[in-house]
Amino acid sequence: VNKTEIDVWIQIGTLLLNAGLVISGGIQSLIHSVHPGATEGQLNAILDGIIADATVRKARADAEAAGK
Amino acid sequence: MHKVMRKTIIALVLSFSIGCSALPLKQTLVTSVQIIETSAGALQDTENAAYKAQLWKISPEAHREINKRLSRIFAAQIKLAEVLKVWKASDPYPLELSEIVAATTEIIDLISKYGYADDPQSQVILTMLKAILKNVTTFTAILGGAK
Repeated sequence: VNKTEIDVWIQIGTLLLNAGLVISGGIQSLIHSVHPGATEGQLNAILDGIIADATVRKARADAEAAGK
Repeated sequence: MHKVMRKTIIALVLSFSIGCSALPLKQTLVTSVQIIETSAGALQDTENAAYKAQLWKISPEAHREINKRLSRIFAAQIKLAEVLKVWKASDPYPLELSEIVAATTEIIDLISKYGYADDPQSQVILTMLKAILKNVTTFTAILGGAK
């Protein structure tokens, strides 16, 4: 078992753990901290961040698809 | 790893906020797009890490084909975010939603086509793919409610 393998299983375990937390409502109180009272400009800035992140991810996917 | 964990937590927390009618429409839509983007990002990170660690024993061809669809999903997300910046409730549904659904569904079909559907590791990936579809459905419902 190498470090990468452990990391991946921790990721998967974390996914399942977080799903369990959400179901139990343990972190539901954090919902209201999501963009409270954000202005149009702030929301567009968030969208710009999404565009930037998706652009990087698309490039990664293209590289993987090309076998690089 | 921590980046993936953080994004996963954010995605799951944000999932609850979709139904929060107190938020103005654009806030809700932006949150919804974040959820779609974060869930697709978590999918990419998990697929890539599991493939490279050979925990998810798919062929290089299947990995490439899945990433072709991931590229389409992210391309559609870029366009969707751009559309949302100037979107109004009277505008038609963004076509990008259909592209995200199509590419996501194709990945699910690919997993079956290549014979990986019964692998335990595939179940994690399939769960993430279905979460993307659910998030798009929720986004569409929000748009429908705005009309």
